[in-house]
Amino acid sequence: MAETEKIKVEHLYFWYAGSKKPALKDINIPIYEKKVTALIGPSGCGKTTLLRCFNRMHDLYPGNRYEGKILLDGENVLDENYDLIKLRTKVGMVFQKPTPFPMSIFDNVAYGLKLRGIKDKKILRERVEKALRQAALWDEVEDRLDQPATGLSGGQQQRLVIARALAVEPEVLLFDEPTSALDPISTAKIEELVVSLKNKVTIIIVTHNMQQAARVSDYTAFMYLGELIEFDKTDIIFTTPKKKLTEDYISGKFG
Amino acid sequence: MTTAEKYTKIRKIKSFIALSLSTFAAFIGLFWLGFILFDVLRHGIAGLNWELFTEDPAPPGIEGGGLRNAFVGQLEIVFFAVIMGVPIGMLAGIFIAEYARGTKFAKTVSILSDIMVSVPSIVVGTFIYAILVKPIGHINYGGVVAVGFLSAIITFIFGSVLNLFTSKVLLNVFSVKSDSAVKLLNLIINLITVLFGVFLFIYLLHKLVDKIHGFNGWAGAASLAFIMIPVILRTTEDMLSLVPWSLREAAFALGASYYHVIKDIVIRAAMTGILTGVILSISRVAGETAPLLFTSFNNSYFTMNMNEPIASLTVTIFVYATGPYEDWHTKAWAASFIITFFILLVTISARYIIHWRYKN
Repeated sequence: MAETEKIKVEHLYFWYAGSKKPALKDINIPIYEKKVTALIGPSGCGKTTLLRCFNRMHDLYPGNRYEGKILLDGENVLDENYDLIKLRTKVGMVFQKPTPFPMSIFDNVAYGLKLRGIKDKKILRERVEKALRQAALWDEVEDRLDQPATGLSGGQQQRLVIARALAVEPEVLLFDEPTSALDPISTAKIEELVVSLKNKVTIIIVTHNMQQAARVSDYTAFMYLGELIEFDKTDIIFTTPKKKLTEDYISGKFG
Repeated sequence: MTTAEKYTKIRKIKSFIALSLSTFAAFIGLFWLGFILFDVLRHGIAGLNWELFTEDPAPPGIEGGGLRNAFVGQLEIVFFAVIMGVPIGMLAGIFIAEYARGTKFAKTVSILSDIMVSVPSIVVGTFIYAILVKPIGHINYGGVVAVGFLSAIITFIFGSVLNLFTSKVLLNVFSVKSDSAVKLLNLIINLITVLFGVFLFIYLLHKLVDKIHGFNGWAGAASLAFIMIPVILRTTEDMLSLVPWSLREAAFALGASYYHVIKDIVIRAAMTGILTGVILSISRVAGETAPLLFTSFNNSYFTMNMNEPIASLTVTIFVYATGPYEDWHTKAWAASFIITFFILLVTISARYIIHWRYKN
């Protein structure tokens, strides 16, 4: 099956403000459209740093520096003239800890839509319901949409955040260890959700739980000390990795 | 007795002593607070009557009359102080905590505000007296500064409207795309705005300057605003800093601009704290006497004209309580009672509003 490259990272280097040593060294990686790509590796290997390059979250902090290219549909998003708001409209993100906004459940999901100038109440309602259904949360919150989102449980909050990201229909969705703050049952729900979204959006997920990567992803990239060690189909990485370092990490010799 | 038991016993005794000392200290504080409130209540209620609110003061030495002028004046001064102080304090706090976060400038302003919070209020009064009340030579300095303020505010509004008009209408009609054209337009807008401000100032100066001279209500409101600004600035800054970065990042990740992140997320998350700060600053300035003594001064007649000296409750209390007549003392007590319980009411209702907001 031929797969199209949604994103292509070419010779990406990244430096945090004030640091001489690059946090990412010569990263080259394709991200295939409508597939799940997992980034794994030990703590501090740069997987979250790489993820945050895709929607240029690093730009919030002055002094951070990129070099190289990240091509999204052929356009370099690291270009200085690339519109960040446009980029973040196309590339959504879900963070490690649930981040519900201090407003009602409905307004949380509708926020991204309102930012894009959608004011029609009927359309808002439809899109919010669709997003909440996609995030498998609709049945639980259907009758309390006007209540504050902070009243939901941790797992529900994380699904709400996913619904919020889905509502604006992004092309790419970034997950930064979305289950590390959740209990096993909520984790299972989020994983199901990720799998169910597979055919709709391109997903990149950072996880330090290897089983999770094996369960949800099609492709896996193994990173170590800011470098990309190996990238391949998930079953190949987990069964017959080409590099010794990957094998050692997968089999739990370090990590 | 084993050593472990001995130590347990010693720890219990220590804990008991600490508890008793702190409880005792708390009761000392509470006692005086209760004493003051009770005394104000006891003396104040005796002086309360309907005429207090509906009539103006009788000539000195003659019984009767009320303090209508002082109530109205106080409300007016505090109202304008809030209008001036709250937006400036909040916007400055937002600037310091968000746009200028971490810069040297922000830190300097923050430290200066901390110093300004603890500046004695009479110093603020003196300062405002010097720039807004006292004429220097033949020039009505206060009037000039007041006109300057007024034209600055009008120019600000003019500039914003012009900017908005240009960005929403002109840019769409002529579909200007290039960056340099936008920069040039910005420059032209700024130039027009500044010129407008200068001409407005010159025009207003000889129209208005002689209307405001000597003691006036604006000076009183300005000095109260001056006290409010650093308090609100610091509270806003602190409350905004408490909002976790992850929340801002989440909003940025949805494609929000910084303006939207601040307006929709950060302010909303910090609203309760900011409101509390605003209300506390209002109740603080509502009880100030020193900065009003030589700015808005006092007025035995009823007036709502802020260009004139205007009466306020606190100054009236000061004058009446130190005056020679028994009737004045009673009125001073009544006024004290009203201002104390007004502030108490404001604080309590603010808490309820915040509580109610939180729940919904």
